[in-house]
Amino acid sequence: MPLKLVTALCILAFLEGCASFPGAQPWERGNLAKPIMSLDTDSLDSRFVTHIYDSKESSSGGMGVGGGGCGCN
Amino acid sequence: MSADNKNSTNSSSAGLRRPVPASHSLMAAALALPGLAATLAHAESAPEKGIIGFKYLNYSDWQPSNPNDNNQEGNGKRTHVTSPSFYLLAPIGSQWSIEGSAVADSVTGATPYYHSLLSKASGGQVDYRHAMDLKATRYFEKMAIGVGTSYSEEHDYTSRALSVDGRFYFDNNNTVLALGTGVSNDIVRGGGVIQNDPRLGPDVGKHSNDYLIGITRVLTPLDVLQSNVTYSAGRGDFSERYKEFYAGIQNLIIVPPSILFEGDVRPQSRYQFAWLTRWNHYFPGVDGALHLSYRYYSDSYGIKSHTIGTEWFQPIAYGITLVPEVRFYSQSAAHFYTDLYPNGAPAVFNPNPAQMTSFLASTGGLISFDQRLSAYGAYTVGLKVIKELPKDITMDVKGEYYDQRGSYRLGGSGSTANLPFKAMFLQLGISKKF
Repeated sequence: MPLKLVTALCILAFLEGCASFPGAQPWERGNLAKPIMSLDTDSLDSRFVTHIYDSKESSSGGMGVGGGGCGCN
Repeated sequence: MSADNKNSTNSSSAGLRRPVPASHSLMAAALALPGLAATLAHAESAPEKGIIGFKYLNYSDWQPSNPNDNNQEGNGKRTHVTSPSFYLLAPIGSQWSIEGSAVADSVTGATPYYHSLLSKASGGQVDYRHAMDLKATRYFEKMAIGVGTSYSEEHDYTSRALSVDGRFYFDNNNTVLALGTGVSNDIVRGGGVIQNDPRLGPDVGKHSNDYLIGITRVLTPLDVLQSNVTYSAGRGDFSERYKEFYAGIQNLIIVPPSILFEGDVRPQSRYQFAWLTRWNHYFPGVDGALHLSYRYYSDSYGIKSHTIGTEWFQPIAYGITLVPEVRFYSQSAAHFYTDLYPNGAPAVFNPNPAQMTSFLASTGGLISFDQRLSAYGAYTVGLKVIKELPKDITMDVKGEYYDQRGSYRLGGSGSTANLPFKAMFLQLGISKKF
């Protein structure tokens, strides 16, 4: 339970920290709109690599939900 | 919101550039959240352009069977996978989009049946896996709702999944809240390991419910951050039947008398928590971008892990972008994993009954020798080269090297029973926007 509480507090502190940043006005987002600033630059690439790690390591999650499973893991 | 007021004009010291949609990058981040990830950045309307892509994927791994084996069987080669895959993202009008992918895996080789010892019986067999997914998204003024499904089929395994996700925009589109939930049902066919072998018992199932909450936030004109928490509650048969089978038939160990010992017995439920945070920062001076990520993971098996990833995107001349990457991973062992043979698995599985009895008593009958549940660390290094061609065509090639071993574990020694495991991932892709 203490670990869960610490994790929850970390998440809340993290969100509070994010909120303190000013963000960007629409006219300031040119660099953010560049393909190299996308959080998912290549869908097939990320699916392939995620599938490998899910089958060779015990950890998964964080990216999405409902992806289904396979016999490899 | 109309198309006009979504756009803004970006000017910089490099000169006047064409208008860019105001919240492109934020939507790219948000779309990468629940369900099946997308690639494009678009706000409260469908993407302006679709993408059609094809990749040829190649995976190979190597691991010695045991210290005395000298890798006589193929120099430690274990499995080889080729995976042609297809991807489509298509806008339908201004308020809908569909996205889907399909992959066909061909797998040769074998996986270990305990620790890192290979099965000598299954090396030449070719297995096939076909998987596909499809997602439809409806865009509203300040939110987007997506519904997705996926299907995966192997000769001994079938998986079906559904997901629903929503994205909600706040603070002048500087913040996106993502909520998602999904359900998956998997069937493991009992006779699949060796066709119609009655010793493997009837088909069994696994069922899981997944939940996601995530925030994507534009921190500054140069920084975007995403943080997702996912939780998965699974029930069903999580034991690895291949390992049960091969360990079992070679040594029908009676511990104590009248109880058949099986090589892999896991809990009937698994609860997984993951917290992933990603941060992208743009460096105007070199026109490059740094991508950092960290994931903390914990589950009801007792496994805790840390994953750190970094990529550097550097456009150079002639439409070429170089993307070197480094990833590090470290995990603790499941509470029911045991290094039965701390110095590497011998070719003959012959454990000490008293030792087994004591271990099983301590775990309530659970046990596994699966390397993936042991304590270890791993790193990946890779390089991707992306080439932009005329007519919105992009080609890319990527190579990655993966090295996993007990001694790489963070903050202490890892499991010693498994020998070093190495793999190589190769990708060759082409895509076109339309």
